[in-house]
Amino acid sequence: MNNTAFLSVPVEGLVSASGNLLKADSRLLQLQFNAAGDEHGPIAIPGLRAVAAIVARTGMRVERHVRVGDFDADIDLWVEAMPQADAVLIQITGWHERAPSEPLTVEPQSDGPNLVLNEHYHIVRMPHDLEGADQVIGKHFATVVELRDIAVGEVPMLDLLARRQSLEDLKISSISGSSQFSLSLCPLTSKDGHFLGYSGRLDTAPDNGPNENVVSDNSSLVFGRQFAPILRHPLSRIIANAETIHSRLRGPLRESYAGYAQDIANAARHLSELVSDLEDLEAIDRSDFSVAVDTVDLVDIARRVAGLLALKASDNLMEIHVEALSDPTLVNGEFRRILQIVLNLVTNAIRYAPGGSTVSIMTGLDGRNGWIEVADQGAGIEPTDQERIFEKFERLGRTGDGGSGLGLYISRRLARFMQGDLAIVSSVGQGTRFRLTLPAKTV
Amino acid sequence: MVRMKLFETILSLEKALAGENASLIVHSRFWEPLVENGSLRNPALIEFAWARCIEAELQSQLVGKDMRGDLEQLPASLLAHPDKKIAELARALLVAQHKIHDPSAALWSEMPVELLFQISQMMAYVAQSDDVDVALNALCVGHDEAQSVAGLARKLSFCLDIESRAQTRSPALSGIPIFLASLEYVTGIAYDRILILIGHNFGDPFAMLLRAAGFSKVEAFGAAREIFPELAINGDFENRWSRVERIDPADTLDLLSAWSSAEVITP
Repeated sequence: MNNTAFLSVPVEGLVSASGNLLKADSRLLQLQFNAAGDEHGPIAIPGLRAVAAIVARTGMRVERHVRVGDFDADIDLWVEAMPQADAVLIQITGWHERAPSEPLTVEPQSDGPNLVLNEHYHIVRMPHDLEGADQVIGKHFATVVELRDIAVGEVPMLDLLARRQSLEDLKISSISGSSQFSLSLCPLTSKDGHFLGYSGRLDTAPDNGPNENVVSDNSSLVFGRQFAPILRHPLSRIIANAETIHSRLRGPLRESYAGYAQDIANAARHLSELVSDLEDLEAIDRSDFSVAVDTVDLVDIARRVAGLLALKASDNLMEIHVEALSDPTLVNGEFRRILQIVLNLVTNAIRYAPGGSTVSIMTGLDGRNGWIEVADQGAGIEPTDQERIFEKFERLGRTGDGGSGLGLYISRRLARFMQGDLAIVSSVGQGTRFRLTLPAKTV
Repeated sequence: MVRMKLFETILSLEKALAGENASLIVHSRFWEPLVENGSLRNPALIEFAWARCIEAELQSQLVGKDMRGDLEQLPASLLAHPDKKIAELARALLVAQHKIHDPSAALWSEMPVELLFQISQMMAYVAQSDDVDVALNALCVGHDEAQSVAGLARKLSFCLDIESRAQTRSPALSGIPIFLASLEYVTGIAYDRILILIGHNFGDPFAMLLRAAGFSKVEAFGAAREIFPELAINGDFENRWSRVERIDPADTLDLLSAWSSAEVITP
């Protein structure tokens, strides 16, 4: 139970109508000092200042949640503010310190359903504490587990599911056999009697070893499965905190220091991108790597990428121009992989082309292929280097720009996995044009 | 469709305002100049009206609503919580939820202080009458934002421990107000703004919001399906989630903030 949230004695302060702190209890005063404020100066805690201003202007009482960024923790305050003669009385009745900007990582209730299958027995919900649970969402349940002690594979499981009856404490194992579970399922039906799927529980059987192989084929993804999440978490924290400092959300700051914070955020972003690249690199170099085949509209991709990177381009005084067909350009491929490739191409263009120039994204159909091109107005690439840039870790001698030398290698590999290709046309002094080609969707 | 509904909501808001204090504060003759000078198209009022419209729609389509009665969707564990403060707030929230069955009363009591003040200023300006000043003053003095559904849900969310907070990730289990208040608590995005980001179907903003709040894919799908029962399992959700899960949660929040501040709402 959170017994620190509400205070038995409120922390009080009085703020003048013009926003100056007239008096304050010691805890409030400490917050004021930590936010670089003075004992009787303007109140320096942004959330409290806003609440006081509302009350001063409207003459009405308010109760609000205010988050204060202190030195080593965020503090959640419950603030009750009421008008007084020419002043605003602030009472802090709730005070809860917590780790800064930590997303929730709570477990679901232990006794409710933790497994849901749809009407086709595909997995909709899995106990998320099982490693690999996210990877099996959408998969057929019978391809992930099998009845224990029956060696026939998925058919008996499927047979059992097809009966659409309740199952109680059934002993099952992952396909690899390394994890054992107890399964209880209840069929779900709509009001008009249609079968909607199953809901129930999947619990690790007590006599098991570690339950780490619900998805059996990922054991060798050492970096992606084990290190990437560990690295990504602190990097995210660094980026978030540095951006908060840079944007001065927690109080005034000298320009030069705000600039240093931005440098820290940028450096951490580069590291984070490198982690993602290494994770992808590990995945695509595996023999069993595959991509999903969806129908994807390249015009949609072009517009999304332009939207996502417009801000980044404008930071570099650049524009992204989409010259896409008005009709959809439908190709076969995996949406997020195509998006990843085009994002990479446009990010490179923004990174290397000069400020004030334009990055163009074009789409079209060419025989049995659809294509999307990204063209910049940069310095171009020497003909002798044009194939080299698709090699792993190839940077063409560039350093310090945040690139890892993996983006184009990964992009071309991904394109080829989707039965397409990524090629370059470039002349020195006339910019660079990358063309991603993918098989057109056949009607 | 959305705009039509918004327009209807604003019209009903106007009617409710007129009906509430017809004898003193407002008369239909005041509304025409208010509309003409653009006061009734002010973005805060529109956002408020739009958010109420979406809230009502989400409430009506929430999975499990039939089993739980009309509006009272609170986890029983909160009503009987060992922390008396939480139990007391949960009961107060139930009472507030009952009260909003009366829409004309609800419009005043659910309004944030800033908006009520703005409206009262507009009316006083248009009316130029002492009677109106007195009535508006009484309305403002009697207003208690903290007793509104959103206000109570926020306070309840503030004092929840981590175990109780786990329940707020299911709108069907916690009810829409606590679900929203909890998202506001975690992300810092305002309650009404969250409603507008959720909108009328499962889109990128909602997916990003859940991602920013630290929902896992499974939790996000559960919450989305409870609010939008028609959501396709392998279609919209999969596509959207695969896109947003590549974005860092901190960046997701930045994007959402930029998105919502750039979105100018006009009727």
